[in-house]
Amino acid sequence: MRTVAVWDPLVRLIHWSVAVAVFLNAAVLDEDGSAHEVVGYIAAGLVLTRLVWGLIGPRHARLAAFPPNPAAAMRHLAGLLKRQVPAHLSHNPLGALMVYNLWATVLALGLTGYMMGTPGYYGMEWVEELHEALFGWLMISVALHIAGVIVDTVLTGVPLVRAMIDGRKRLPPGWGEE
Amino acid sequence: MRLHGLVFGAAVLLAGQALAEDITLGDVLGGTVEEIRSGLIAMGYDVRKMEFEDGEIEIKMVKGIAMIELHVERATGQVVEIEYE
Repeated sequence: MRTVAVWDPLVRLIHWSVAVAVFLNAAVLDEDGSAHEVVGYIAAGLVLTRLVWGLIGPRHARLAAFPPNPAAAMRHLAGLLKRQVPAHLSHNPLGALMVYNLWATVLALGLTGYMMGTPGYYGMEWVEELHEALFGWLMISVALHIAGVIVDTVLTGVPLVRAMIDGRKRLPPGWGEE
Repeated sequence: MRLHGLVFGAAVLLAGQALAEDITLGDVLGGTVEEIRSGLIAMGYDVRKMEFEDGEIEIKMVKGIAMIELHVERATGQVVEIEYE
């Protein structure tokens, strides 16, 4: 077993902070309250910070380490079905697509939330419905993300949650970097 | 000097009229949804959304840069809550 430092402190801080923000807005805070708005803007700000970090941060945090690649994601999915998946130091191709999806959804929620508070879009039904639809999609995505983490952890033997806590991936013997 | 006085007087009158056209608590807007809507539009509000909720009509509307949520009692057409966003 070798351990490799993959997730730097900022990546981990942003990951868990966004998770807490999503949980607060989904399950704790009143959706009409100002706290809901503040937490939503914080989440969007964290995602924007992560995107900047993806351009200037360390190797595994960089967007170039996990480019969106639907064909590779499909191959990874096929591998999952055959229970043959390689370990990745950064996100695997399927996980990478989910990451971009989650970030885009959080940003779109922040944007539509902002629009709902401007005179131009206040009370506009289509903006409110889009915000709600995005929230529904985020909940589905979060469920798929958690399921993906569990499945990947079981199949590769790399504890992904632990890696997102202490920053280190524990790779079983024989696993090469991909 | 006299002209200035006249202009000032007209301005005060117009301002008063504009204020009078703003919705206030207790106003009765009408017996039907359409009456309420047209009454608000006549007062210069851009009515964006009307929703029925627990015996009330929740209205979202805009006037200039003011975003207002209004609660109107469905049975009486009376404004029972005004919330500026």
